[in-house]
Amino acid sequence: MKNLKPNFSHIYLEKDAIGYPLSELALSKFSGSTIVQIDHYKDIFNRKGQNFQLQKKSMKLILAIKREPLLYDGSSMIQDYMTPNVYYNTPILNCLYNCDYCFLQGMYDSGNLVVFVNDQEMMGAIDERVSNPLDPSRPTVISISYNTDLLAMENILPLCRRWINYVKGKKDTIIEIRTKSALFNAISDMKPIDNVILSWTLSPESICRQYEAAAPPLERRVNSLKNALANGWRVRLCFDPIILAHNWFETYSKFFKDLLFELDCKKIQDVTLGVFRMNKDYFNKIRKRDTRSNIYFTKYTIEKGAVVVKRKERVEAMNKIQNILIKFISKDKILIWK
Amino acid sequence: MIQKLQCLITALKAESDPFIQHLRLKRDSALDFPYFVNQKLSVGLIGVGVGKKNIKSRINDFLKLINHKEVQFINVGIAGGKKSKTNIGELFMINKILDDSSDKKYYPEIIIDHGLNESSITTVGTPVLDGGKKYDTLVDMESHEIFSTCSKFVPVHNISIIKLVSDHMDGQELFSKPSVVSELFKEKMDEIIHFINQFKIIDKMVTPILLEKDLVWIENTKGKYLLTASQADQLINYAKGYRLRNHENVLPELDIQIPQTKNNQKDTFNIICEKLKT
Repeated sequence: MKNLKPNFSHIYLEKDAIGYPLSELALSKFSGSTIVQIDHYKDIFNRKGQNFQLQKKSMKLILAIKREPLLYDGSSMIQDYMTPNVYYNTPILNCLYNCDYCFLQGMYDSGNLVVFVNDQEMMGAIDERVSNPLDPSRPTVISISYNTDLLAMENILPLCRRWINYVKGKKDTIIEIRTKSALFNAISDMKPIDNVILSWTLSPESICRQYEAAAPPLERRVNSLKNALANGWRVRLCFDPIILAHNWFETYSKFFKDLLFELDCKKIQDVTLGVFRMNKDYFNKIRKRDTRSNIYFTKYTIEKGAVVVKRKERVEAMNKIQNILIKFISKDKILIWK
Repeated sequence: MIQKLQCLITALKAESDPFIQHLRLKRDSALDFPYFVNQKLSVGLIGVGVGKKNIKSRINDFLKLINHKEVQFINVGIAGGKKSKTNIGELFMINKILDDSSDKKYYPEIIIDHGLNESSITTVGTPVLDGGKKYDTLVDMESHEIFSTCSKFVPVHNISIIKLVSDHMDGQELFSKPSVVSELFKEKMDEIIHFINQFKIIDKMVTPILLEKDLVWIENTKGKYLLTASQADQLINYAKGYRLRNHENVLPELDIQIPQTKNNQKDTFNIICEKLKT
């Protein structure tokens, strides 16, 4: 927007993050930015009186050190990945995109981005956990893009590249990189490896326009994932959240048919499905902040501390969608959050 | 009552005079310290004097007088700068505020493309006259207390600190020459006024969903239909949803009988909610 500072006009640099290769790289990429030294990232990220949505219009970059915990147990909000060894970590807090339904708006007080520059330590924490898994017969799955869209940042900081290089050859560790970006080309020179899953979140174009306005349009995401498939990467399709808006079934039926006709579905690793759901506290916080999205002013129910579409309604919806998907993808490859 | 006010905060008369003239501010005797206002422009100015001692009480008194949620604070004042780093008369937007007597640091939100150089600043208790050997920042006597106080009442994006370098902390210039200080501000007036006008944009970017008339409707409905606190909260959310779906329309007229029993009251509330779902 005119009259506003561009994104990353300011870099807040934690004193302990000085000298890390990722810090140096970020500073060199944004050599025109104003650098403000800070003691701890929370001094700025957790300040009182911030406005998440206002900050999204002029995002600042915070470079910091991730301190313990470096790894978190998998969230109950995600699908069952057929292994109890599911974790996530946070190389970045917050996302370049600002999707209406995203829990980050309720999780954080700030719309700014924090990049943790000590990724080597985060990798070390994974190695330690993998050496002592809950179920040794199963691989350990780490979502590294849970509180962000890591691939969307790849032209700014090559974090996916670093994580892919890290996991290469570690057969018991799988990393999932979930994205809405169209930036596969930023890693397309890399050889595909089996223990990396590139997951694209896809929605019908009308949903993209209404609820994912800052993310690339559907066509560009699809082109990106097609390139990933063609290069031999394991690709997951995430239809999550399915937004049960007016005429949702017609909208999604057409979307699935159009999309899956043009993809080589045999190559798809799997598909995840789920309706809109969110931690109740995050949901209420977002609503209090006067979000403009109608998603937060629709009737839901509360189950185990989460705001969700009523069970009957969501199970019916998921079954209907599954019936469409099984024409293209085998049932065992469809992972559903019900 | 003035709504959506921008309030300049100055320490010295020499700082405030150029703004009083330029913005045609008139003294308002509602407060027993310097308070000037131009209601047409929705700009005010309060003088807090040199140092921290009056800041909290004067800002508090000012906020009691007006609707504080709608205020943007802009501290405009002089600061000492290092001779090697700054020029007399140079303007800075402050992006970090330290205090000589505390570890607490503040980071003003910088969203507007202000076009000024930026600097950090340290607030001190007594004037620095040794050239500022100890400091790598600008130096003043108010910023920290002003930010600390204002940030208790308004969001951080509604506070800005602009400093003009009046001296190099060597005792050669400063308070003894108010006319020089005023003159320096007059020279920079256009830049400061440009920022003040730009700063208003932020206010427009964070407008609430519910309009003034919606809030009145909610208050009336709560009272008329004897809603519980929980129902009142739900009503606000339904009203927000209605307003998002119906930008132009007024909230629906409720021609419902006033409830006589508890069950009856619940039914009434459900009818109101249904009406707001449209």
